[in-house]
Amino acid sequence: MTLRAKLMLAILPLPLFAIIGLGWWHYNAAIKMVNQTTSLYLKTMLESYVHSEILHRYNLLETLGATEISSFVNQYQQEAMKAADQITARQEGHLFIVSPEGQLLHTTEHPNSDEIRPGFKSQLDICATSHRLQTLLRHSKQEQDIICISKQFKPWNWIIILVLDGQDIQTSLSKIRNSTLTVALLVMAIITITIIILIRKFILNPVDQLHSAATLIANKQQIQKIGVHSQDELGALARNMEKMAHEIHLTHNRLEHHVQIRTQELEQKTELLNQEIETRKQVEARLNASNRDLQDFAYVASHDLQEPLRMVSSYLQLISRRYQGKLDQDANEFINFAVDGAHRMSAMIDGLLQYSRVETQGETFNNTDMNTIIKDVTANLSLQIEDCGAKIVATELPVVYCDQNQIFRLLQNLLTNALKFHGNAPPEINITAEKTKTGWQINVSDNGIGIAKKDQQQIFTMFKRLHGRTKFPGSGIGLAVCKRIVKRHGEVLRVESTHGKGSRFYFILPFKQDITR
Amino acid sequence: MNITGQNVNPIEILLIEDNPGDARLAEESFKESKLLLRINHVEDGEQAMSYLLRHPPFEQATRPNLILLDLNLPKKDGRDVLSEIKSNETLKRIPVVVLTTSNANEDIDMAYDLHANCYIKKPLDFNQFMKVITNIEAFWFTVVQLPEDKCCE
Repeated sequence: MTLRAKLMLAILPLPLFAIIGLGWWHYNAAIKMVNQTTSLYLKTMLESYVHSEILHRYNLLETLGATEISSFVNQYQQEAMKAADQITARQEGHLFIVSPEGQLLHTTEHPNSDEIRPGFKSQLDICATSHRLQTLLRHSKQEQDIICISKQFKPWNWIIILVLDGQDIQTSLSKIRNSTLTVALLVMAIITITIIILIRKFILNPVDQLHSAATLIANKQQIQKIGVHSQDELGALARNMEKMAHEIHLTHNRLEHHVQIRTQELEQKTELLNQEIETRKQVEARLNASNRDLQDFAYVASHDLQEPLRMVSSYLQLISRRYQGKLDQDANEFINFAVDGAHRMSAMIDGLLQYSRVETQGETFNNTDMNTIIKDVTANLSLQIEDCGAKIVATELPVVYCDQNQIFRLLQNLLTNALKFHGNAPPEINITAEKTKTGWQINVSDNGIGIAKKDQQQIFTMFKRLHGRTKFPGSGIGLAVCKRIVKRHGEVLRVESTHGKGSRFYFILPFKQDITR
Repeated sequence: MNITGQNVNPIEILLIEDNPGDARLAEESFKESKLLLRINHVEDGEQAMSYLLRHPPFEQATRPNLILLDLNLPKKDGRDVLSEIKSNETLKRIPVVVLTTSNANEDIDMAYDLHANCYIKKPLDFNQFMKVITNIEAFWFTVVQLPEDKCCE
């Protein structure tokens, strides 16, 4: 519902009720006045007739002393009736003279006929019984709308009834009603139109202008003037809205400016970021290429470098085999040294290959039961374990998240070392696990020869050996590979050792992971 | 064919090896064998395929009883030679022993994927090498039952 409809709905009933009330009051006043006038007219007419025509004649008869002489009385009565006919001919209304028994003595209504409709007769009876003014409305065909008043004249036993035709009164009353209604409607229409025009001019039009201005503001369009200049609340609202629109416009411009600046900054940053990403991609590509090169190199090393070495050692051995007995002791010894050198170099090349493949050919991590790995490693080393009478004790170990093959190799290398570097007593190796903040710490401790403090960092260096080849053979690659495997699992391989009293190697492996891929 | 020392026909071995040193070592090792062997040596993959398919200049070549194959070969690689032999209807029954310096896992996997009959890493030590050759002889010519060559003679 629009504001206009609401206003109309609120205001229009007021003039409507006012006009209806005023009309009703006016109509009632008019009816009352008509009734009074009619009543006065009838009373006056009846009184004047009775007084001047009947009483006057009776008084005359009295003076003459002829009240008992019927011929005189009859003549006077006939004259009074004729006077009635003359009066009704001049004025509105009809006179009826009846006896108290209800017998109709004279009527001015039907001068040529004594017949009166029975319905009207009963209405006349009602008029005769009471001498007040009465209004009788017709109820049947034989009746009529009448206003009547009666008066008794006892000396002659007459009841004189003055009857006025109600039809005329009704007509005039309806005329009054109609004119009142017409005037009321006209006045109402004029007042309504005036109110509408005033409301339009002073309220609805400014509100419309404010509304369209607000719509413009809402649509982010600029407005200069709203066009409401009145000094009332609407005018104030309009001026405030103009101010507000101006402020909004300014704020909008400032905001737009800020957004523009920010957008530019963002674009610059995005550009920088893209450059950075591009650079990183290039670096990554170079890194990948370099990794591939390294892998290729490792493969070439394992294959192509081994070939000449094999030639050297094989043919030296073929010489010593073919020329058995023809070479002296020295020659055989030299050949042995040369062959041994070639073998060691071959082992080193294999070690290098292993070392390089920890990173390049590592497998994906999985949840792995350490107990199984230890079981497999000890099974693999069962010969050596038996040879030196070693005792290996592993507590209950956890499940960790790791590259299974590499952890297998790590533990195999550590156990091999523990078995190899033992003192006089048979080796005792303990494998335990303890929970730390970052993962499971695995400890491998032995009762072997131990490592002096100063050598403890060197043992992890490639090809670094602390002992003579004859006492403890080896390529010097095992711990370097171990360190690299632990590093691939994000941790550091550490050693704790006292020279002559055994060593403890320990490292941390990641906790078991929820794999719901 | 039951192969014994008394057999008139020698056992044919095709040695596919580009390194003359290695080829010679193999030949020297086979020299100490008690079996009557004939070593046919080719130096690259293309020659090997020509020999096996008797393309010139190998029209007179005999079908080998065993192939010793090195993987790294010039012209045509040992891998291609292996795959061609094993996908050739007449050649695929000839046992192929891959004898190579590489012990890289990818090479081993690849060789068996291509249906090599066995994969042996050439030992560094000559005595070991001798032992390997003797084992090859013993295994493939006395232990194993090979299908009879009806197809190609």
